[in-house]
Amino acid sequence: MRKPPAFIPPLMLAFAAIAALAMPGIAGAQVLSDSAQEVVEYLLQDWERQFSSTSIPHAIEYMGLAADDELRIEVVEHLRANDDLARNLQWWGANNYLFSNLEKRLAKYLIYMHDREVSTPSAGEVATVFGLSVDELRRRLDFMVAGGFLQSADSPLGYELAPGFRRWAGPLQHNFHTVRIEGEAPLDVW
Amino acid sequence: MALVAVVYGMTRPSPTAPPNMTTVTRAAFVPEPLPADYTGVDLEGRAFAGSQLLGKVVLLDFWAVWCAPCIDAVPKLNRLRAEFPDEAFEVIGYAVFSGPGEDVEAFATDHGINYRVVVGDNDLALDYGVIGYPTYFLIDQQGQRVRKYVGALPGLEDRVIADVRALLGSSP
Repeated sequence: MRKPPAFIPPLMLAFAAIAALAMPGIAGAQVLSDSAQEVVEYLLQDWERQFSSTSIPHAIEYMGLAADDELRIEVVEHLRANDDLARNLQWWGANNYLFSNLEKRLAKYLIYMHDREVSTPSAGEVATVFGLSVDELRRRLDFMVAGGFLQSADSPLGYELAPGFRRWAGPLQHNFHTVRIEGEAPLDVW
Repeated sequence: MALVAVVYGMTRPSPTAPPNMTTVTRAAFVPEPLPADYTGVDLEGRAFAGSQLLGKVVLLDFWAVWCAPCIDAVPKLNRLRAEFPDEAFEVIGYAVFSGPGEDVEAFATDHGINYRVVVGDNDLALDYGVIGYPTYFLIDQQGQRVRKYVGALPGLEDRVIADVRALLGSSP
């Protein structure tokens, strides 16, 4: 069989690239909602400041938007797919920016219980520890499932750590530092 | 009494050692196998494996370009590298979570690093139990871990020198 001319594959690649730009949904490229685009822009500007490493939920809060779990997932998926947007993402990974401080505390607690092979606490017990209603706790844990850190399980809590949970948060793990400088918006620092 | 004598023997200052430097004997080490070979790519783009360094004492430095204590340690590591003959001792700067190799290379140039820098495997940090940076492992000539030093320890340079001397069987 005759081989096709060598110039065809590059041409096909060029057509594919044009198609990807024209039909992002089909080609796998992501179109951000206006809110997500604003959050991403806020974060990229924030991360330009020395030591500044504000999380997605805090950016949403500081921008005056209502807390929105779906928006957080939309933003983190964009950051995961585009880690060339900022060095922070290449160093620590997008997941580092997904959780609120409360969710980070929950993550630390669940890892602690796991590592000490303590029997899994019930949702009521965990809710008591964190001063939450059981419904609110479940919403936070469902969000941590959506983020890929937890998975549903047949256990008193109803959740367990997902495979790869230790690597999920990157080298900074679930540590956080939120600071407030007088006259400026709060920020998270690394 | 014997135990006290052994402990004293491990820690008493050598008459010829610099201030704050202690003398350590090889018997003080309890070698442990490494969890895995420390592999990566050096700044010339060549594949690197720690197992290539069997026969040498190695100070393996897990560090990152964004880690301030790691940056502070560079001059100390440069001095350590120069303290012992090349054929007996190496410092390996094992960069993790530091972005592309070009960024690590630029960092090494800007900070005048004189020891070998390797762009490492991020997952290996976890396998080695690294939870903070810098974390150093002292590896003996048989490729076994004999010490772990975590963070910007006071007197770290002197401690490493004493430990390397013990492994090399050299006197101060």
